[in-house]
Amino acid sequence: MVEAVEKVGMIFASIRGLGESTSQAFKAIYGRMTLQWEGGAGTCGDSTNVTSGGCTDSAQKIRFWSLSGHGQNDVNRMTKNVIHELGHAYDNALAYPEPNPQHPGQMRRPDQDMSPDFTRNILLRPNVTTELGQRWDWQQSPDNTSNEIFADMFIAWTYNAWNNDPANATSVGDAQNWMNGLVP
Amino acid sequence: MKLKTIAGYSCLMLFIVFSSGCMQERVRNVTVLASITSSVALSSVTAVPSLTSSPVNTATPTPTMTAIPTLPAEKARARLLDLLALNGGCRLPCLWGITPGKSSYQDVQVVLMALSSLSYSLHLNPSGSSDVTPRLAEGDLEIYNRVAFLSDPNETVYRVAYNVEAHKLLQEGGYLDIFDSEFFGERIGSYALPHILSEQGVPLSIMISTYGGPLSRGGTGGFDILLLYPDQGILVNYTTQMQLSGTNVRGCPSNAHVEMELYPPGNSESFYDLLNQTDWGAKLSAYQPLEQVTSMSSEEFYETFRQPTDNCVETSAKLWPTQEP
Repeated sequence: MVEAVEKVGMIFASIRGLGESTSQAFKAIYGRMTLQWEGGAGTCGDSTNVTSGGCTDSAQKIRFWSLSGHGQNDVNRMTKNVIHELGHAYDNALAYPEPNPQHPGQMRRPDQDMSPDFTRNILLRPNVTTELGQRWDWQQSPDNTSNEIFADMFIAWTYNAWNNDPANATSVGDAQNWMNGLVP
Repeated sequence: MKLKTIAGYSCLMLFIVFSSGCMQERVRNVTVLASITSSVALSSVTAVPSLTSSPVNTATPTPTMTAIPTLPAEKARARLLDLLALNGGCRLPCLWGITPGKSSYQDVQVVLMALSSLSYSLHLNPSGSSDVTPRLAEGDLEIYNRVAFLSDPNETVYRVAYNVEAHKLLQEGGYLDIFDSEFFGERIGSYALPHILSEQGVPLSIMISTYGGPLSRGGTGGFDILLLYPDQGILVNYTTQMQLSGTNVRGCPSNAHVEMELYPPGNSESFYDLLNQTDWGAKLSAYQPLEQVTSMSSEEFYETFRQPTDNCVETSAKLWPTQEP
């Protein structure tokens, strides 16, 4: 979790360009953040029962029951899972988006709409399937809702590791610029 | 998400001292709503038509400006429907009249600009990727297209990447993949499995990718059928909903989503090298040859699916990995 916080703080410090340390930049975005391990069953949101994964309660609170790659002690994928949830919290900190009635399928954010062209297969690196199975890695969710795509875009943005197929280069550039432009 | 319950963790709470961040005015950029309904003069350098603010076009116009016609939405819609049904009157690897190895960036501009009113974004790049994402909406169902034409420094198209999918648009933003839409299947005749098999013949290789158990985290699709025609420079992938049936997994390709990679024909020796430079370099490892994982041969597959049919491909679940929870 500390590694995830450091990585996210680093990208915010870099984009903000205010000479902040990584921890200062992190605090500037999130304020006091609580990352909390849970045990047993719990609820997330209105009524969703949760026994695994993570739940972003607010811009300042995330709870975890388990992490991707936990069984293999794969720190890289666990870190990405935490960053995915930090992406949700950041989305929340920016004021969660509302549906755009003029453009179904598009989310209206307070300052900048998220393009419907920001799709997983274009922007994000594919998760690799091996004989051991498919692992959640660059994409922590298969969900094509704007919120989940945003959280996985946040991983790509944090690591500067976007889809690298030349056919997607211009769309990736749009997404990078859009993410940079969101930073307060 | 349905990960196994992890019990017994001590409560780890990480508190970071609150401090309010200074809020700068956010910069507006990037989102491009292309709703141009008249002709637009394009230079031969990157240009993004937009009625909203756009950061991209910083090019200096060349002395020879070319007027590229765009179409109003209704005419663009008719054009797109025609392209989906007839592929611009050409055979793959030609797509929408653009032939890899022959067509130029100038040809690409004409094709893409005509559809720009149906797309949220349009990128034009004479020596890189030019792409457009025209959509056809019918209620809350959408036929989503994305085509990218890649040109070399001589402005000759050397690769075409194309996706066509059926989406149900969601109120909360984003979409659901739809794999059983007849509305979709009836409109993409040029790219449906029967048409491709009839036009191109028995593929050199047919491959399958799926999972040996339920998809996790609410995923959809999960059953892919890949046709490879290296000598023709064609890769076609069909994605459909995987269905667990006893000890088997089944996928039915009618109304499946389509993805293509198209290259100049006659270069079979470099075909796989070219694919390795795309996302397929990573994705191909998940596929297994049809003959090894089903009871069908390539010829039997061809005979079964070259006419429209509701038949499915079935494979043993134990041959496939599962998704991490």
